[in-house]
Amino acid sequence: MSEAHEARAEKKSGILAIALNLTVACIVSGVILAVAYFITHPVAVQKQKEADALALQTLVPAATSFVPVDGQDNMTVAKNGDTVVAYVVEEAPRGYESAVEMLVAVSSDGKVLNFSITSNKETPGLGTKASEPAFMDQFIGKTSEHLAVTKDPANKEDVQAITGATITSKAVTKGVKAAVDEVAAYTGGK
Amino acid sequence: MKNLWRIFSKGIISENPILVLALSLCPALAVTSSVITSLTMGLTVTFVISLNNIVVSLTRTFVNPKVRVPVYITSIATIVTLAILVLQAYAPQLYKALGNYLSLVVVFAIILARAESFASKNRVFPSFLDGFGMGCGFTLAMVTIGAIREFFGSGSLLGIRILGSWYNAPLLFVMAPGAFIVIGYLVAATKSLNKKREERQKEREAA
Amino acid sequence: MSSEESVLTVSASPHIKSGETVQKIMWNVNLALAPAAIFGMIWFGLPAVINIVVSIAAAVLTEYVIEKIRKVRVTVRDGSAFITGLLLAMCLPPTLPFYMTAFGAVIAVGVAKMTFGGLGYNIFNPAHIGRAALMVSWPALMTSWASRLPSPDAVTSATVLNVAKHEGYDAVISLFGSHTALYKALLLGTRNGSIGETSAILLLLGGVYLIARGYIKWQVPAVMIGTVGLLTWAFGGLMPSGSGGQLTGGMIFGGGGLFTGDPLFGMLSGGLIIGAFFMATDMVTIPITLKGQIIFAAGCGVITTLIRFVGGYPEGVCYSILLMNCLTPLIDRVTKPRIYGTGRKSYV
Repeated sequence: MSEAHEARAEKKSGILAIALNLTVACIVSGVILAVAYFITHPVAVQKQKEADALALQTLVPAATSFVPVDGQDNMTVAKNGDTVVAYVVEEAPRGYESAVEMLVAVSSDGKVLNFSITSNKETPGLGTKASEPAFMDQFIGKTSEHLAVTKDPANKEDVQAITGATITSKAVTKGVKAAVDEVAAYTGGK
Repeated sequence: MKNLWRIFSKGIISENPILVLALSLCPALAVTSSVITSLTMGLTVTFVISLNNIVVSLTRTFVNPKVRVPVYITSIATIVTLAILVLQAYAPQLYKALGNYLSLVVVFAIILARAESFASKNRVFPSFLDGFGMGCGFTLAMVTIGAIREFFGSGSLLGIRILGSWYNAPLLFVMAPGAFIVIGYLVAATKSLNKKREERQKEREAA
Repeated sequence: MSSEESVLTVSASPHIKSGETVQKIMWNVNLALAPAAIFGMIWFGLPAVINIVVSIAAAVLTEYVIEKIRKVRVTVRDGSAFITGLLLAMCLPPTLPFYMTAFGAVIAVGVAKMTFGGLGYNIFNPAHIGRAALMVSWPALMTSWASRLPSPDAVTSATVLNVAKHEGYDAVISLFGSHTALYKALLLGTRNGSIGETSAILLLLGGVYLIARGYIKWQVPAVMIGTVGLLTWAFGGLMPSGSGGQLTGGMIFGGGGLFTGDPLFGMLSGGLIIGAFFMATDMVTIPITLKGQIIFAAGCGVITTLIRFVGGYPEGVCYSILLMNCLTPLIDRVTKPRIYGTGRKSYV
């Protein structure tokens, strides 16, 4: 503490003055933040909605409307008019670094239509390859029993693991499989 | 006038927050894998540090020295939250890329250090210049680190691929060890640069 | 940087003047490495030759250029950069593209050695830093291997430790046919792996030569390899293979219970022999006293085994030695010999 500070500390160091000082600081800060939140929050919510809608639309381009499923908070039905095009399921399987957040579009007969990875924090250059078409295209059209990872290059039925990123490959496959199984359980139960 | 210039410019090289003072190394490691995130982080910190220095300088006669650190932190936290709210609403992609590190700006040592050692004792304009200069120095260092890491680690700059597909980028530069190595060599380079400048200054004074 | 003496004085008392010079020791180490390196070149063919030549050339050239730029005495003839290049290449997969090998050698000598002040001042084993940098930079290529396993139609691109880690010990045995065939392959080096790590017997030959010349202490490799063998035997049969939490096969090192692991497999596979004899004994980066070196070696053994058991990689020799390199100053501190005439624990 400098001398100037100390001199001022001598002058007004009553506990009330100190408390008042901090209180005023907090009130001012609170007011500023409240105003800012009031202005920015609606914009942020709007942007988030747009981003979500865009993600769903890119995933299932054929659909015209998306309806959340009652009782399944991670599932959305993609419809074109009245026909169900796909069920979109949110999954977040545990990868190598953290959860891999993804959206999986499943047809009503339990086949993978498409999927996208919305947040991939895996190892750059290895796990991040899970977001590349070379890996993702393998899933399209697969049913639950072929959603397993293989390292055998001759096995064309299952999903080929990414070299050096077996854990991520398995995580993604697990997520897609979980989505397919959930849709099967849901449509089967109806 | 010359004095004001000196207040502003010292933060850029001779007292660069990252490369000389070695403060705020956490973001210098964590968010510098690409130029764009480095730049955003740099500008955010510049905004926070300049504004906070103004606030601290303006209130320096009211704030009781016994609670000055809590008050400074409240001020910094308010400004940072403001920045977060704005980024969240108007640049959600960047907000996502910077993640938790944005909230951590509150505890960046360099911001509190400038409030304590400069703004609390000086008038508003010099305080602003001091914060702005430090922010610029911080941004410069961040962008330099980011550019080196992105160029060698991804073969691109600002997200635009510069080296062709023949370039098989060593991931070392994108990962944390690469950041440590790059920062280490930049610190060494800055040190030798500052040393040479001092020598030149001495010669000039002697002559 | 001062002269060679500064390296030789880094030793416990008594200080006796001998005819040994850094140069002589270093070239003897190179000689000791030669048989295994030559075997690697023959076994893996041209790619291995290219990698070894490129690695040595890049290491030596880096040292030369940096010393020229800094205008200090050029020390490339002492053979230490040559060792770094050779050791680095011997720890790399033979199929690694040569420019990557060169990158590793430049990091090894430029970053890990010259930045710290040159020979005698480096904290970490330069060759292993080079390898670690390559591992981070190109992980996929650093873990793909030329197919030199006995049956080419089986798993084609894995080392024995890889197979053990992902599919279990039984898969390793069935790959080679029998236990004896496995041990034979491990000893002779007729298997997959890094260029210079496969032939246990030739590495042992070089190691024994260095021990006989008195350049390294037999206790260091013995303790490191022994620790790995002991832990593998005791717990190796309890460690499930597979990855990502999915059990794919049996246990990594054998049986299925306590004391059922295969210690011989653990001790002869991977880079343990070359690491224990040639890297964990690097006089610059390990503790000074024998007691300290034994603690160091035991620590290397424990970390190696831990990485093999539960880590993401099938092999952990490189990282174990680098991690223990960090602890060297601390080990030196607690094992400093008592000054004659002072009380116990005078070092605190």
